[in-house]
Amino acid sequence: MRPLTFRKLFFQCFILTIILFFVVIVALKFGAVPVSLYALGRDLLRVFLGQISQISSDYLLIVQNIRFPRIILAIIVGASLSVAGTSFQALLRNPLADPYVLGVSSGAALGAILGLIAEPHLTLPPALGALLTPLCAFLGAAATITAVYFLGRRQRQIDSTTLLLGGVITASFLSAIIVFLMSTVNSSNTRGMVFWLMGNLSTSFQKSVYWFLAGGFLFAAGVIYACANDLNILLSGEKEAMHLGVDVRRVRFVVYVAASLLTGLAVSVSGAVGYVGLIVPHIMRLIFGSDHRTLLPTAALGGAIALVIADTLARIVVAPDELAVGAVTAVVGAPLFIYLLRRRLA
Amino acid sequence: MPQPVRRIVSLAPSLTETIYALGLEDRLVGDTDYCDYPVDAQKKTKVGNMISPSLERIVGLHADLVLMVKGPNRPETAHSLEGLGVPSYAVDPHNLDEIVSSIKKLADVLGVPEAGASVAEGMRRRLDDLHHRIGDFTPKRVLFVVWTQPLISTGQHTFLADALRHAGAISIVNSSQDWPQVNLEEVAKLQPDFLVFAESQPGNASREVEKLATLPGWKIIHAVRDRRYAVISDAVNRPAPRIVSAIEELARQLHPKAFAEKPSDKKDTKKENEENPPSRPLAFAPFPLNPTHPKHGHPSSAGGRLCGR
Repeated sequence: MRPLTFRKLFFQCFILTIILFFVVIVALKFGAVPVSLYALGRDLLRVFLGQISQISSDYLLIVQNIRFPRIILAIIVGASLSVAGTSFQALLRNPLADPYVLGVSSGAALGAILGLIAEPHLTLPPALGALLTPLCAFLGAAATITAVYFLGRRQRQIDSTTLLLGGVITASFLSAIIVFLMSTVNSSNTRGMVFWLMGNLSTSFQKSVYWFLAGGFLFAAGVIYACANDLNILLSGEKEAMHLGVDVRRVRFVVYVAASLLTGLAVSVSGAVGYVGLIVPHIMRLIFGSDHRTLLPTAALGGAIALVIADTLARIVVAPDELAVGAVTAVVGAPLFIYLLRRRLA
Repeated sequence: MPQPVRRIVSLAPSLTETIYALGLEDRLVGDTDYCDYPVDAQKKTKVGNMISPSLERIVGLHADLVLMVKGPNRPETAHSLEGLGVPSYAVDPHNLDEIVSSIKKLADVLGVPEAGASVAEGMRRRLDDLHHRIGDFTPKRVLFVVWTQPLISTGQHTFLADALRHAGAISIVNSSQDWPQVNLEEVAKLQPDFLVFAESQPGNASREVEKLATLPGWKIIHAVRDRRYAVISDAVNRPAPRIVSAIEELARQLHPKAFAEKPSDKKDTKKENEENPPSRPLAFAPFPLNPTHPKHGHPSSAGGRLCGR
């Protein structure tokens, strides 16, 4: 294995960070309140200088409380999905793997829907009530992760094929329960449930949620990054990895749990946003190579860029109405995937 | 169309309510899981949901006419029923005028034109009265909330939007989609005077607003911050006679001044006030559920009241 040159890694990440910065600027510009790039630059400068009072209040309120948090959410969710996708593709040694392949999104959706059904029967303080759906979604995701883990074990360690099959079957089973609930529960909630299943970044959360998400992302992504070298070796074959002294069982367990955690966090705030976790790792692999020590950070940045762009499109294409961001990523992602596939075959 | 129609199956809550209002409840042999008003309608034989009702059960009920609403009910259901030799009749109202005229037409089809004329007349009269009361007031700019996260409202071309107009309100959402997902920034820019909720369970709406008030994105909506919202019965979602009561409820909450004065010399107005005591606290506060619900115990009250019988 070639030694990792930090200069190269730094350079690649620097380029992507610059791109992300410009994408965020553009995303900040577009929306219901029109703003020129000049005014945006001036206001950003004022925010940095702490002269917030000089900014026109309407615009600041909207950008500060609605648009900016939404962009942050897109960054965290995009990075989480992309890192999770990269990890699952390595773990399962399957290029079709994405963060949802093991049924985490269905588990989260089921949790959220159960939360929506139960909510009117509970008396919760408002702040907790607003958190109930994401909380239930996360619990649903966690329960699914645990169940699939036990389904995927053979001889007391994770077996890729068994895990994959166990995950796919769990996902379809949970989807069946969701359909059953949605068609039997007599509730006006179904419209909101459908939107939730499609993936959506329009939800507003308390500030603490963003900090929690960011912390969770840094922790789980850090854990996966610590295994980056082992993932590289694991890709060349299980026996080889063992001979080289990699604790295969431990690596698989750690990466599985951390990647599932990332997916669970992302899904519980945005629903199932498809394709980001599938396509972005492939693109980054094409551009920057398949060394996980560079692939993981570039995939994180790439996922963030992709989802901020997709969500900006979701906001402005049919403005003042919105599209579900999952629809945008699917429309762009599916043809892109086919293009990458044909290119590889050619 | 068989005449007279003796065995009716209704595939929508609004049609079930209309049948009761026309006094034809004895001929209603089946309705859907969602038909919950009047209470008696819940006891009818259920044929399933609106999207995929049980054709077997409809045929088993020996229905000689199945009533549908275009949109919620699928045309495939009508085709399948036709193949089974069961005729169906569909209504498709898009505004209040069409709701009234569709009820009248339905009554003609069912062979009770007098009852239909009386219900339609009652609805028109109450809407006219309302217009006289609030016509001079500036319409309130409202956001009708179907769902909060993501925010879903109603478009301009729905009967719901027309119901809002009749209640002296105008929706800030100017979408041609029927159920658009609305950008929260747009709401923050346009700042509605009121949020409007239609609730099926009491307390849902006020709980929802309290939840929203904890979120940074919603806190900057003045109507959320100041708890300016109106809660009406979910009858407003149903193109049936009861929608007029929901419209009146909304008008009372949005334009309390129009209802504050003493009853005028008009006879009709006086009667309306007897039916709806105007002594409730208005606007700026969460509201108890609409006054028609306590009448649940009398299955025929909606019909009887609207027909003046």
